[in-house]
Amino acid sequence: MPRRHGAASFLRKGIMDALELEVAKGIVEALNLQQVAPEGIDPTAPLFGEGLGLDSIDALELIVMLHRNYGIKIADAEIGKAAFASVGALAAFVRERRVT
Amino acid sequence: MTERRVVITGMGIVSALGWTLEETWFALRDERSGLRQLSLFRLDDRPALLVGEVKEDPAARSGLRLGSRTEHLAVCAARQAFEHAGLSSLPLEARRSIGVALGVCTGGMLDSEEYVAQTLCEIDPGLELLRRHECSCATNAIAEALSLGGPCSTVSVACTSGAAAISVARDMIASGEADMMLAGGADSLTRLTVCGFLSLLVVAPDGCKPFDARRAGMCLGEGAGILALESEAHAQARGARALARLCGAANTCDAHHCTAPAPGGAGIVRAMQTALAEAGLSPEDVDYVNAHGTGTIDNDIAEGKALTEVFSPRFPWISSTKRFFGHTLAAAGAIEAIVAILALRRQYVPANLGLEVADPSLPFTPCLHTTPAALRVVMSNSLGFGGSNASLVFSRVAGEEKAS
Amino acid sequence: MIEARHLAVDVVGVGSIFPASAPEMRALPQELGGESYPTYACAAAPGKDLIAPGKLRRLGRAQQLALGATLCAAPDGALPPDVGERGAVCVGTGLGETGSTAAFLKSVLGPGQRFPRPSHFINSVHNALASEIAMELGFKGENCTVTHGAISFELALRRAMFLLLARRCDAAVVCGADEWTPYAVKFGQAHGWWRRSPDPLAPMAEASAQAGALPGEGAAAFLLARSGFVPDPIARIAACAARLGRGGARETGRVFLESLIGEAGAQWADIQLVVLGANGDARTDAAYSGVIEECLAVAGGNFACAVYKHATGEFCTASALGTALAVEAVHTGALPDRLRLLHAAPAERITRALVYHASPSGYHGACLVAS
Repeated sequence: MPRRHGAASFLRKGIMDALELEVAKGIVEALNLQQVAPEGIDPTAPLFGEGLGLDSIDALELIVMLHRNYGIKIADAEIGKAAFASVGALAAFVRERRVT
Repeated sequence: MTERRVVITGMGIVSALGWTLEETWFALRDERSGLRQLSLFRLDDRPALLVGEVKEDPAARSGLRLGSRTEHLAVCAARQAFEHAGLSSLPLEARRSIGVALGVCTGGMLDSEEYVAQTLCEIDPGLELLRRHECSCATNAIAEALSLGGPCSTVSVACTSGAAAISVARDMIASGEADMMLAGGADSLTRLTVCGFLSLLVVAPDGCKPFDARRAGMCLGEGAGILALESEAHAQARGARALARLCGAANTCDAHHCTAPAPGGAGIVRAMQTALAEAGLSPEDVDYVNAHGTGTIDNDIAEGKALTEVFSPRFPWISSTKRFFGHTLAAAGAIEAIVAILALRRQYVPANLGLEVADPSLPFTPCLHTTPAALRVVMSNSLGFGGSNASLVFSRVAGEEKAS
Repeated sequence: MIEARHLAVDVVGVGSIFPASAPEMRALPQELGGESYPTYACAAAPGKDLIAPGKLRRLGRAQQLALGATLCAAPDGALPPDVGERGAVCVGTGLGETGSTAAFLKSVLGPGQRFPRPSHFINSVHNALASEIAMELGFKGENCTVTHGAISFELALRRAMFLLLARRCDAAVVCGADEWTPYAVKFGQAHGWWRRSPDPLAPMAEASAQAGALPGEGAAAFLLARSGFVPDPIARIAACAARLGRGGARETGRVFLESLIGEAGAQWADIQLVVLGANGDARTDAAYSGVIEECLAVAGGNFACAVYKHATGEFCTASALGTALAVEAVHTGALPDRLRLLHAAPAERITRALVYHASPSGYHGACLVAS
């Protein structure tokens, strides 16, 4: 049976799984994004530059959030950049690296 | 508004390199870094850090009965500068018109942190630890220790504080508000600043390597640097020897980001150009630049571009001396101004200590070793959080040949 | 009367954030004793209706106060566009962002796992207020923060006036701001500044015999320009001075004020209103009374006196709010609501107001505002 990639990716976009939602909440809380609803963030949308328009300080705050919430320690801001591409990317990073 | 020319007639410095100008000079000449393992306080869960810690307790040397570490450092340096300027026997009435302009970031924070730490452990430490919290305590401590009654001010502009205070003092003299000012900066190491920069992931535990291809960040230091500034006429009238002339000073702001410098270092470019214009000089006239050069990836890129824009293709001698002292925050602008003036007096360029392989993207190579050189005009630059930039230009005083 | 107009700067705009008009009880956290202190407090997020959410989320309260007041002072169109490199920012703050500093220190020094937040550290530098103002307005000239206790605001104002008159800039924002935090209260307590009774401040009220004042918070910002740079300024600042009293015996308030007035080329007869930084503490109130009596005796008594700290509480840069009220007075010619008259109303339209404060440690700060 052929896999229906197109339909799967259509459904995937904009809908979060539980970890992505949890990560989105963590982002909103860590960055004090009071006017953003976590469930409203597109998990594939970029976090930095465009999208939410976060900057280098926000990246550092997210590194702290990952340590506090998941026990993940990042000592180099460069590693953060790839992991923080989107909510989805960050959730995948957490799934792979989480300690708690 | 008539402007009067301003000269430096005395200098005082306390840092990881030592307690006097001589000790400082010997360390620069011999390329001996003052960085050691942090011992002033303990930080749990932190890596061992190299910092520019002052080696003995400044409280034992300042002559102050009470005060925070920053105050002790400031007064030690101020006493030195005062004496160096030949003012120690100045009668009290004459001291009434001498003011103090000081740059301070941490103030009494080392004691205030102790207060916070104890309260968090459910100890009531009493309020004495908070009394000397303000940055201005150090300024007032200098004024009181030396019985100075002139205009006083305290500025706090992050890493450009020391240079900013020198600018303010220069303007007070040039406009006639004061005949003489002590000006500079002072800061002690604190848990706040050490942990703060650690949280930004910009600290190199093994110390900074400014402009190096493999640089990994900054290192902190502490200390105080004070200049005695005076109008040239006033110095001549009392027969004081002028060490150098402050011929240009400029302060700008990037207005770009709370920590990252503007791309290409546009703000420090303007500061350098403005300071030179004020001095009636062009870039070709500058023989040596003491760069801010913290050794972070971002600072050195931006500052490298800025130096290129101003000086290319004919670069002066360039070095960052941050591996000698550590980044002394508010004291840095003043300590490095003193380094630049020492270079002028001794006719030596201090090494860009820590540099092994220069960043290949730089079109200049900082001075690798302390090197004799003919220097007539020197520049000292500072860049700070919040996008502030400062550039100071010093020149030799005509007819003054001997070093001191 | 020949006024030294060439030494004055224009006020193009003024903005201010005052605390609530009556003191509220605020509890200190358990680790600081858990007691409640009456305080003049601003809103929890004082910049909320003034600053865009994307920016607001990262700002501490002192930054919100400073930036919020600046946005009120500098509406669009007040200045020519592209002031940019010719715009300076001079901020005076007594204690800076104690909230951010305390938050960072608690996370570093407290027992247990610690997660210090970088934005708290970045906000804890004193110039975090001035750098936000510069970014908002694109002002790329000198960015200066003065922190010198009770005269922080006046020294910042003097620096801005110097830069304008020396033509180092064409426009400048001057701001005085301080926030209330538990640590700011403890600092004030260490200096014996506070009383515990929750009665509102009643500066210079005859019946009052209280020792100590109540803490407050707030900010005022002034958009200044060189004389003639912008048409129709709302006021002028003719002179400003701030120092430790000079001389063998501490320089008296009257001598200090007269030197300021003389610097501006003015005389007592030109001044209709004196705005005092009295805060209801019996000893300092008495000192202000003494100064005013002397000045009235010399002046032949034709200025009215008013106070403002019943509307601001006591903090290092409260005189910025007093100065904002003085600017409003000379701009409208009449007394703003928050200024409380001590005795008779001004006999004529207010065209010159003198703002004066003195601290127990011997500092004087004053500013002459003119229409």
